[in-house]
Amino acid sequence: MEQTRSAARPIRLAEARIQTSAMKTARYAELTADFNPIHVDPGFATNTVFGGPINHGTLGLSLLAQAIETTFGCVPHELDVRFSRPAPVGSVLVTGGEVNSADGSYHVHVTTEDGVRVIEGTLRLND
Amino acid sequence: MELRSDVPKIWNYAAFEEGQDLGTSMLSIDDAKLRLWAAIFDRPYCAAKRQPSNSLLISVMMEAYLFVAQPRPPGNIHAGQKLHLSGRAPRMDEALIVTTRVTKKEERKGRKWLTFESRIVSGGDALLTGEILTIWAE
Repeated sequence: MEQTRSAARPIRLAEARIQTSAMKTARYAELTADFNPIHVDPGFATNTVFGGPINHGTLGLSLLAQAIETTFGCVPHELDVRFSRPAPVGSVLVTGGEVNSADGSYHVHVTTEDGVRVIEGTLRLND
Repeated sequence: MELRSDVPKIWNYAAFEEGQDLGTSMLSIDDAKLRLWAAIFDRPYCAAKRQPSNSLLISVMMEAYLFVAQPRPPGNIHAGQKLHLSGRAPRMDEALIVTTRVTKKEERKGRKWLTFESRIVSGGDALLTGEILTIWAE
């Protein structure tokens, strides 16, 4: 993995990806006890501004947390993100991140496979 | 988890106050949760059991948050999230004590913003502190 010279840290976050599906969304709903119909009820979700079921925001955030763990191990860190766009159930979610050489933080994100950014923010390692 | 009786009929915006303690929940990462997690993220269950992922703390945080503020109006938006993770990973079946409270309440540009703080502690170790930023529906 490519490393920064100064701190011997990776320049980029490891990529993690999942193909979402109605089954995975149902499982995530069970895991978190979040059965909001916008996620799990196609009949309801079709009649909303989203036009269909969307993934739980924290499903993508959990994927990002796994990418952080894969990249750095289990280390103290702070993550500050916003959920910028909904991700339709059925989309592929892909994590990414690049170091900010100015301060050593990382710009991290989760996108759909077609490039729509659904989560974006900053990761700071506390070591 | 204990059921609470001192809650409003519905958690609308008016029911919240800054500094309000919404409750404490005791949760754990058990086999059922781990199997769900592994199936969602295409991970081998056995490997996950040896060392549960830190990401499971996020689902624990959300489960506790959703439990203490129910029922809620439909249409709330989870707009942002801050997480401070200690680096101490969760362990299978350990008691995770999750406290949830309201830290900020403000109306901006016609929207009702609420910030909730979630803290997960186990055996004296603070595993996670999170800030859940939401736009409340009504």
